[in-house]
Amino acid sequence: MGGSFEEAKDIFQDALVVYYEKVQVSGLKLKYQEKAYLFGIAKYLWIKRYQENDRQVTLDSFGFVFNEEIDLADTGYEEVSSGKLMHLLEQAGQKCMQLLSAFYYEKLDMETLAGRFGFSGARSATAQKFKCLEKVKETVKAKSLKYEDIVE
Amino acid sequence: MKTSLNELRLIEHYLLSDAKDGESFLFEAKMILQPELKQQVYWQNKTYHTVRDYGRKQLKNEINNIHETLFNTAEHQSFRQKVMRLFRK
Repeated sequence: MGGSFEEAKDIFQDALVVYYEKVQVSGLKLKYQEKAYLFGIAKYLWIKRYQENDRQVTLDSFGFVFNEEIDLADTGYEEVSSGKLMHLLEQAGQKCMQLLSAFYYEKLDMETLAGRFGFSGARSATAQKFKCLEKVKETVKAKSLKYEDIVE
Repeated sequence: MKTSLNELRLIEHYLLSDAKDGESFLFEAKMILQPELKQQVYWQNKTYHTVRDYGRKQLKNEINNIHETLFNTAEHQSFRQKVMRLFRK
C-alpha cells in the first residue's frame, strides 16, 4: 500500500482519535481486540485519504454527535477562521475550556468532574459548567462577529 | 444579548439529545417564531463544535507527546528500530 513513516504516523494518530471518540461517544461495545478496531479505522482512513486522492478527509467526515441540521446559511453569518478563535480560547479561557471539554468531549460524569476540578459536588459542577458554556458562547459569538466586521 | 441559564439548558437538550421528542418539535416551532432563539441555537452549536475541537487538540497533543517519547528516547530505541524497518524498502 505504500506510504511514508510520516503518513503512517498521521493516519495512526488520527485513528487513535477516531477510536477514542467512537468509544466515548457511542459507547461502542468491544467485541474484538482493540488493535482490530485500530487497524480497521487506520485502513479506512488510509484508503479515504490516499487511494481516493483526497487528502482533505478530516475526522469530521465520520459524522459526529452534534446536530448538523441547523441551517447556518439562514443566520447570515459566515464560517469564521477557527484558528484565531481557538488561540484566543486557549489563552484567555483555558480553565473553562478544560472543564467543558472534560464534560462534552471526555464525557466525564459530574461527580468525577467535580473531583477533578475541585468543586464541592455534582450540583456546583453543573452550575459551573453552564457558566462556562455561557462565557465561551459569548466569546465565540463576539469573536465571530468581530471577524465578520473586518472582512466586510 | 445574554442567554438565560434556562435557555442554555433548553438549547443544550435540543442540540445534544439523541432522540427527537415532542419537545423538540415544539422547540423547532419556537425557533421559527423567534429568530433570536434560532441565532442562540446557532452560536451554542458552534460552541459545542469549538469545545470538541479543543478536546481533540488536547488529545492529539497527548498522543504526540507519547510519540516523541517512543521515537526520541534511548530506552525505546529497539521499538523505534522495529517500526522503522517496516518503512525500509
